[in-house]
Amino acid sequence: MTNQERGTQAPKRKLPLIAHILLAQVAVVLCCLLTWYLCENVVQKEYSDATYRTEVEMIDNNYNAMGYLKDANGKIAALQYAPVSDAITKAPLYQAVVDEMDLLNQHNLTVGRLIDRVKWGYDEADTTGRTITIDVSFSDPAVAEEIGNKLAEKLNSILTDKSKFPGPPINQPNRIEHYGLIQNPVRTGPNTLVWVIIAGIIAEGVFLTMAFQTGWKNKLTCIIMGFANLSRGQVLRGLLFFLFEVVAIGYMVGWGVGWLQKLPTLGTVKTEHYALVAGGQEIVSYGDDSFKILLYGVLTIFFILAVIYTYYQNVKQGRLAQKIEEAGKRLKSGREDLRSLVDDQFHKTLLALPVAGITVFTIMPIIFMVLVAFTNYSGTFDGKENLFHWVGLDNFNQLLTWTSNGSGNKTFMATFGEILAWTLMWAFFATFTNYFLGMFVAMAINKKGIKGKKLFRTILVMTIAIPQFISLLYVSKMFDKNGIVNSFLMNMGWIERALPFWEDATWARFTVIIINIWIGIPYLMLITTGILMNIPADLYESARIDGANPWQQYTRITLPYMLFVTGPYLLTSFTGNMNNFNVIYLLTGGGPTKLGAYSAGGVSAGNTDLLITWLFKITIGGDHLYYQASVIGILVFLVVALITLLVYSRLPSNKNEEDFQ
Amino acid sequence: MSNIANTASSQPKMKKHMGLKASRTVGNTLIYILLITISIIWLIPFVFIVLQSFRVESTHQVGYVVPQVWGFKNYADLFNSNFVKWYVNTFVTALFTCILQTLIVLCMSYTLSRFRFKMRKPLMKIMLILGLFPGMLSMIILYRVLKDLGLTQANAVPGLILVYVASSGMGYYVSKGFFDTIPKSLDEAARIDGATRAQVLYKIILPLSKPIVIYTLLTAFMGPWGDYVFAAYVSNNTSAGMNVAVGLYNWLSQDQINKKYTMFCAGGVLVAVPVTVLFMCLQRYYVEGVTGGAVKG
Amino acid sequence: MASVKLTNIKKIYDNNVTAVHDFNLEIKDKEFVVFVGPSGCGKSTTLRMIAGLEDISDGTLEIDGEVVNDLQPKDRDIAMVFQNYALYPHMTVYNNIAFSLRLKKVPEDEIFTRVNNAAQILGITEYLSRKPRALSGGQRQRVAIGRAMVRNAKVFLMDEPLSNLDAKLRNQMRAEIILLRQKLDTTFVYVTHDQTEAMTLGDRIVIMKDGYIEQVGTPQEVFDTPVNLFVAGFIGSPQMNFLKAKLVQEGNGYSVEILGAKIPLNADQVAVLSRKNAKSQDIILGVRPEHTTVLFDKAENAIECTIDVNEMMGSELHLHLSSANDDKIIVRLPTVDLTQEQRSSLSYGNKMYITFPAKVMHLFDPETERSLIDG
Repeated sequence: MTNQERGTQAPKRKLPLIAHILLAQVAVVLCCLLTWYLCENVVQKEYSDATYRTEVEMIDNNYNAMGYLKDANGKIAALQYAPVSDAITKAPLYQAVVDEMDLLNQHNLTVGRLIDRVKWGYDEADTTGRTITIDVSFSDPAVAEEIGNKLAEKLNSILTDKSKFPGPPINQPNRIEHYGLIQNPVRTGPNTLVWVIIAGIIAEGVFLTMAFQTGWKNKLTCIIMGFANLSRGQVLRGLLFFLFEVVAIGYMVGWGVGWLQKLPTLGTVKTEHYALVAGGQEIVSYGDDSFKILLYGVLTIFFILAVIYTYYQNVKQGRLAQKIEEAGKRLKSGREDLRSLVDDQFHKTLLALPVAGITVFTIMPIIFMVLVAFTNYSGTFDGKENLFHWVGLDNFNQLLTWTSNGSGNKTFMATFGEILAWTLMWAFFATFTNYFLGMFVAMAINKKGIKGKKLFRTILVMTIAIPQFISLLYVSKMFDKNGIVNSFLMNMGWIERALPFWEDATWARFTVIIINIWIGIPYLMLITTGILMNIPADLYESARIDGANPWQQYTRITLPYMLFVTGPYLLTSFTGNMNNFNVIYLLTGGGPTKLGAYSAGGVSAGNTDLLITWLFKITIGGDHLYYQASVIGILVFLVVALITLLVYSRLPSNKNEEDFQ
Repeated sequence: MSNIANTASSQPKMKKHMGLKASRTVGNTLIYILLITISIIWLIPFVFIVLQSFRVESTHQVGYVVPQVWGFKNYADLFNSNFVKWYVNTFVTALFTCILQTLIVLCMSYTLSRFRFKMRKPLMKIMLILGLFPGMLSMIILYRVLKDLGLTQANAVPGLILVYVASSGMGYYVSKGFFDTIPKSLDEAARIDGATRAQVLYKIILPLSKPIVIYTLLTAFMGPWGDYVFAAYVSNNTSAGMNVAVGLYNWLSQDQINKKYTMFCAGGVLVAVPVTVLFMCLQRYYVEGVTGGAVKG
Repeated sequence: MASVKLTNIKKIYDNNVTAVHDFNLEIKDKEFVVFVGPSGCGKSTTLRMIAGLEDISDGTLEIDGEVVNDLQPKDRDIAMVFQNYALYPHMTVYNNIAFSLRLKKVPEDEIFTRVNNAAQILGITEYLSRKPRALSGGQRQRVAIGRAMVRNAKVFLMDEPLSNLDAKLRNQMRAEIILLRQKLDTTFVYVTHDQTEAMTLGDRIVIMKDGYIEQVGTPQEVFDTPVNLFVAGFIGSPQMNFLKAKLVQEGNGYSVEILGAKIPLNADQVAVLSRKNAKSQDIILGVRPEHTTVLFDKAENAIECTIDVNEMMGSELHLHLSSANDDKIIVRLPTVDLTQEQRSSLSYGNKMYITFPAKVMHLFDPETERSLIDG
């Protein structure tokens, strides 16, 4: 029996387990009832606003100044809640609002909020459209009345102000009619049913866990986190857990629930812009921001997962502490905990920051971007001005079509396939040309009898030091139509017209690979030199005695050894080259442009584009179709992961390890 | 008996011997030619850049290399342009990144090398998988977050540092390979002698890790000088926040190239020289890092 | 007081491989105990569990009566010498030895005294300012011992410290360790795969195989009374000879029949066998080469063998013989009294005769491999 097994034997219970579980269910039911009661009777529920209506009838005939919309028959069309382009329509009303700044201050209102609560319409029966109805909604009926009256008066005075509304002389003042409260505040409020269900689920989790714990300390810790530790003297741990609980509840109640509620829709309230007077100061009423909702919504989900995990740890600590107590041993004090953080738990201390960084800056963005692939997030639908929403698998369905939609351009998948083919070809050639040529150069330098080894190596190593972008940019210009290479060749009379290094698709692909060799050989030379020196010399000697010529020595001794050692490196090099942004983008920008390729929001693909440069162009160019970029990113990942998995299990280093050791 | 036999068989032996020597000389000569050619080809672009940076007669992209009129005008122009700001930006970014990134990478690689804990293998697998995602994807959201924090455009430098450093733990591979070569019995002896694991790290392991620390510092420092993608995205067309890669890249765009080509060359030289000099001084450590840790893994 | 008590100690790795099964041992204060066995028997693992470098899967470990299962190595008051010395390469010998004292914040002058004392005992005073890479293997080993010495720890652990040295140095260091033990006067736990080291150094030997303890006893005990075939074959060089034979019960007496010879057992052996109610059965007979007498001519109860190989060791010959039923036997024949005629008859294929008295015979059951008399 191991130490662990011994500990979990015979937990002491006064009642059998079934009884505890049943008790837990009772507690859950009580919680649900409590929640229901609170929701219905105690919680400050929201009320729909009281609405106070006033009417101002304009005697002034100057419709135009009001900016009414007329239909084809010259009839006044209804005034909708007009956006900013129809600023002049609402201008007088908004002016009235601004003029009542004192009023605003009294009630702690911002202009934007007030405008939200003022709706106007017109009296349907009045076909001249001269009557303006003002409905002011506020939770407090008295405030609605006060503001409604004031606004009506102010509107009236503006409308009769000749400097603002020149027109035929006014014979009579505008008529103001008060209708009073047309709607009393009505209780709306949180959806009781939803809250009860949520409460039920949480309660079930908590109380069921409690049922399985033994001892009142461990049971209580299910409700007050950290109690198990605190009650046993472990102040540090207990306080940390408790603080976490406080923060967790605070966050969830304050913000978390809000974000989660909006997550399914990614926001419904749009941001509105208003101008008070035509061309005047703009007021912005902020609605929902889809991006923030997605971001914080997902973060909240992760936070919930973290809460569940911490809760589990909390309960587990209780059990462990109990076991230790029963075994008669002492629990670790706070000071001991801190000390162990630099000793046996040092790895946690060391990893805390790096792992946190990776989680926030790598994992979160990736999860987020994968989710974006299921929305329509783009430059236009960026979540602020225009909300974006979930589209499910629409993006995938839309893009993953193989046949053309008749618009003359190829489909997404056709272009994707072409680019993928080139990406794979590029990665293959880039990796293996560099590998073998680099090895060849390393062997040449390493050969017995060659002097100046250090000099040659230094020259090549120096080229690694120079920042790649300089070399790449300059070299790309060298091969331009009017660049140095073409001028040189023309001056020598070897060619008549400039060679289309970058203009022709096939030329471009070749040139890119060749230049990549120039970039890559020094690095490969370094790596292979180190390994070459490690191959035992007596292998070669015995081969020579056996009659092997240099080529056979290479294929039978050098190559297998190299492939074994650098197998994993080759794989990472291949996948790395698939995502080798710099070389392609800085040399060709992905060009020359593919004709007839799928146009992603105005961005077209090029013949030397890798999937990743194409992704980049879609992100920064045209309509900024982020969701397409995400889809491509996911597909790229799948391809790369597939290749990695397939090759890794077949690598010689995995299969034939014994042979080389 | 033995003497006669020796002379009789020595003649053919000598012939073969000479043939072997001759073929070796021929082979070696070919190799020398190859290596010299390679050296020249590799150095040509840099020689050209340097030459072009001294060209004064015109700023266009031209078809010849050697300047007709020599001068320092291009360099002088650099100091009156945004280049100075870009240079300072990149230098500051590189400096902070260098120090912070080294700290983080060494923490991660030391832990993965020395400690055995439950999450160790899963952690390494997760990082392997994360590395397969194209890094570009995260760019969009990171930009948005940085924007909300105010760390973009003119304030791109702190934003870039944050992003470079935060995820740098994923580049633990080479350093871990190095730490793996230090025998664990050193750790154990120290622990028995009374050291906590933290003391083991800084009293025993770190003094032995000079090569890898320098390698990590070096590569971390060199990184920001060449980063185009992210720097471009974060600085978002605001000149004050650009790094040299973005700035110089823009100078070669269609509309600017004819005015800025020679300045680009001068700028390139000014960027390349300090970085290369630093690298060459420390190349021993770089080579050790690459050949030691990168491949053994 | 520095006793070490291991009770039901087990080591099970994550992949469910059990390296050490149910290890029970009480090491008395100031005792020198050796764990010996072939590679993979679990001796190093057990040592490392005592040190705290490996977690104990089950069981209790007590040092000086205190349960130390959960204590860190540094809190257990133990010192350890490693197989590959594990000297800190970047520190001088002095600093290597002083390292643990400095961690305890011992004042420098006391460190000076203690380090120099240890250096003097070990004969490494002149190397104190050198770095490990400037020392030879033997010198490094001494520094490693010195580093462990100055701690005045309760328990001194040594993990195959001599395995990396050449044969001659090994013999020399063995003697030095014995001297060291007298000077240090503390509890030693020593791990080796070499049975000679175990026999010469240990007060008691723990012989291990595949994670189990085969036998615990003084060197004399495990030599004279091995409890099973493995221990019998492991201890003693050259290895004990194993011959197929039969145990025959005749009335109240027992004898061993082998290849025509019939050797009656002596009174003590008979007593043990009677108590166990042993019946006639096939057995494996074990006789040490040094207990076997070699005869050139046939004698009563002598076993006929043919010579395979004849190794000249100088003062004696090691003869490899085959018996009639193909058992391989090694015997030792002193050369000093041999006649020329006898020497020349020691070639391949010639016949020799061996005989041995009852008291040097070890009887083992072929299936359980346990000794019928000592097991």
